[in-house]
Amino acid sequence: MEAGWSPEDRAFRREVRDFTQEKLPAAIRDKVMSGRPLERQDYMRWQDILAQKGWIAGFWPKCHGGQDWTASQSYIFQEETTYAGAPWLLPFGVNYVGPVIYTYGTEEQKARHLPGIVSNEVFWCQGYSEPNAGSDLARLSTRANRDGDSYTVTGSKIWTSMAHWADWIFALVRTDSDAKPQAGISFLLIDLNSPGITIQPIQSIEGAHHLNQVFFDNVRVPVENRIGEENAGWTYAKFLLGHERVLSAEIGKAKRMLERLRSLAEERNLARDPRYLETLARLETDVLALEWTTLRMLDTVMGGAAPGVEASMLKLRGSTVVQEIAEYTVDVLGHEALAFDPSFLEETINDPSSELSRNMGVVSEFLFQRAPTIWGGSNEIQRNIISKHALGLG
Amino acid sequence: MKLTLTQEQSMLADSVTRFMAGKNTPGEAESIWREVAELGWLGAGVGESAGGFGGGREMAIVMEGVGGSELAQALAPVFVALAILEKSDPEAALISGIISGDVVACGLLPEMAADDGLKLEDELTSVSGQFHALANVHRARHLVLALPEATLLLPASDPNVHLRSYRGMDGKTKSDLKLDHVALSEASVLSKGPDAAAALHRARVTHAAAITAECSGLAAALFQYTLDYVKQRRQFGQPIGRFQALQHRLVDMFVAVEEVQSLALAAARAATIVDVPESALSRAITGASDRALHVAKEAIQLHGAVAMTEDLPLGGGLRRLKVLQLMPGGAETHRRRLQQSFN
Repeated sequence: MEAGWSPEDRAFRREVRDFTQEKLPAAIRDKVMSGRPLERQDYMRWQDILAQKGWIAGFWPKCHGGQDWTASQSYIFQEETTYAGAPWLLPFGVNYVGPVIYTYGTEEQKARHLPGIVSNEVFWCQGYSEPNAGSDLARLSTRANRDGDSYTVTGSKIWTSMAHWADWIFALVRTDSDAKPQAGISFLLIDLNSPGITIQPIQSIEGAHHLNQVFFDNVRVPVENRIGEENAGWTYAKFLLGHERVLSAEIGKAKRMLERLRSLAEERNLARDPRYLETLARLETDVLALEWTTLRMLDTVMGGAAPGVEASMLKLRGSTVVQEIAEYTVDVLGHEALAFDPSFLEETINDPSSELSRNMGVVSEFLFQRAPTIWGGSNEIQRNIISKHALGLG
Repeated sequence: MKLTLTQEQSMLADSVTRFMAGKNTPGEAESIWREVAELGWLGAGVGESAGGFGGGREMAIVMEGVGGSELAQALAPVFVALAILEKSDPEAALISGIISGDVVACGLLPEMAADDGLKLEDELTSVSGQFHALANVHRARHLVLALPEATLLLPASDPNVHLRSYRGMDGKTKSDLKLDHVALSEASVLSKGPDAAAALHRARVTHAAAITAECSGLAAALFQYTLDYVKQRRQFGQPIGRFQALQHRLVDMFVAVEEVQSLALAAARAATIVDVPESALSRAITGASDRALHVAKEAIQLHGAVAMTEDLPLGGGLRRLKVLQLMPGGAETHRRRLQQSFN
């Protein structure tokens, strides 16, 4: 079954495949393939390679440093690179704040912030969730009080992935407490080196540190760092969330994980085990259904339609399918999955290519994969969106 | 038929709950073992004639109450050892040593051994075999093996007993154990023939009762955390427990917990019933494990991001249940046994 890619798309796929095969450092690929946590330098090294090629922000307009990729090219790029074992291309700058800046930002903001994203020199993180505003994001309470030509920001953001590695954070803040929740929010770009910011690590259940809580104590943010109008931040936030969800069905990753599952099963003489074969067939079918749902949506987007509830559907299914593959891979490891020491994964003294280390990567990934059904608008929220907007039940 | 707890059993359950409430699951401390022995809990593993106060139900009550903790994984193999020893020789001095907490012995079953199995060699003069990911053997002075042909008592200090210990997925020490032609003396063969087969059966019942009881205790705790959370966590102007979509999921978790408790009870009662088919034990183990895992995953999802942190015991619960599923002799072993017996 082939989607009927154009000759240009096929050529592009070959180009991405060859490039990734040639340029992706083996050590990074190996970490990704086994599911071990990546360091900042791992992400940055791969993104530097992409930046040199001009592929960090391929889907951006040429005038902002992109390649004017079509939706199908963006899809092919993501599928090929993730399938080959490239790290997750960190979306905070490229996919989230970048498009917000070039769509809603001032010329000064574009000139100041877009080049750093395209060149991979500035590391961004996302300040959305708060302790009391998760699924109900619009109730966020981090305050930004106007004081002359700057705001003073006080409050905290939580579940902030990779804030401890980041240079800048884009944050939703409350600028009007009297308006309806959605109507009193502004979108600020904040330098994480500003006085008054504290970043506190949160340890995850797989033992790694990628989540943080970011505290703001009277942090001065120049008004020129506000995107668009004051109190109109919710519009930009929703625009961004749409971008976040389009990417969530990671077909390349799902296929890569299925391949690892097959090879681990074969190593353990399960290749003819009826229960394994039944489970594998189910997971492969899930990936096929997800892949063609993604392609159908891609076709719609190429036809000019804005992604709507389809994006929610892909987020829902993509996160669930990957989660199930990750868990079943642990089941296939059996008792070999029981040796798990998160510190082992980070210690450079241990042989990262050892079987033990690879097995621990599989366990680490299984635990981490509980998160995607929660983040980016939990799967419960996605169901609300679909029932309201697709089914007319809201 | 009376399935509710007796007054004594309720008191035991309360005392376990109170004790555990005062502990925040410390590391692998010898002191907590001593405390537990002084409370007499180890005696829950054997009947009065062997110096204890238990049978299956009392042991299960202890296991349910300590579910998920350091103690649970340490106690289970000791209860299996006690069951084997009681069946072989209720008056053995070793039993009282174990109950008093002075001696640790771990019980091992054939289905816990690696694929190539356990081999009794040369007319019972030596035994060989390999085990993976065993709990508590690094503290054991004795290994008690229930095999179909013979019941064996081995000193863990034997030069041909090799241990390699490491950190397990549940954060607790696990060990790979290799028996490399461990010589058997007359004293190390506790029973043979039908007596050995009976001891193995008894050990399997105890093992099933211990696993299912721990699943039960853990699932109930994870459910309770989630129920409390959806009542107090407010989003969209109301507690999230007011949303019907979530209510139905809580109800399914509740029903799953009830069923785990039923399966655990069935396994615990098997100790008092003659000729319980082993397939029923396997079903109880797989059924309890599957349901408890479902509860653990739902607990994480319904808590949201906060469940991904080590601030709550939800991730720890999932990891422990995954260990009970994947450990040799755990739920996957029994799923395979069921499949094989059907073929």
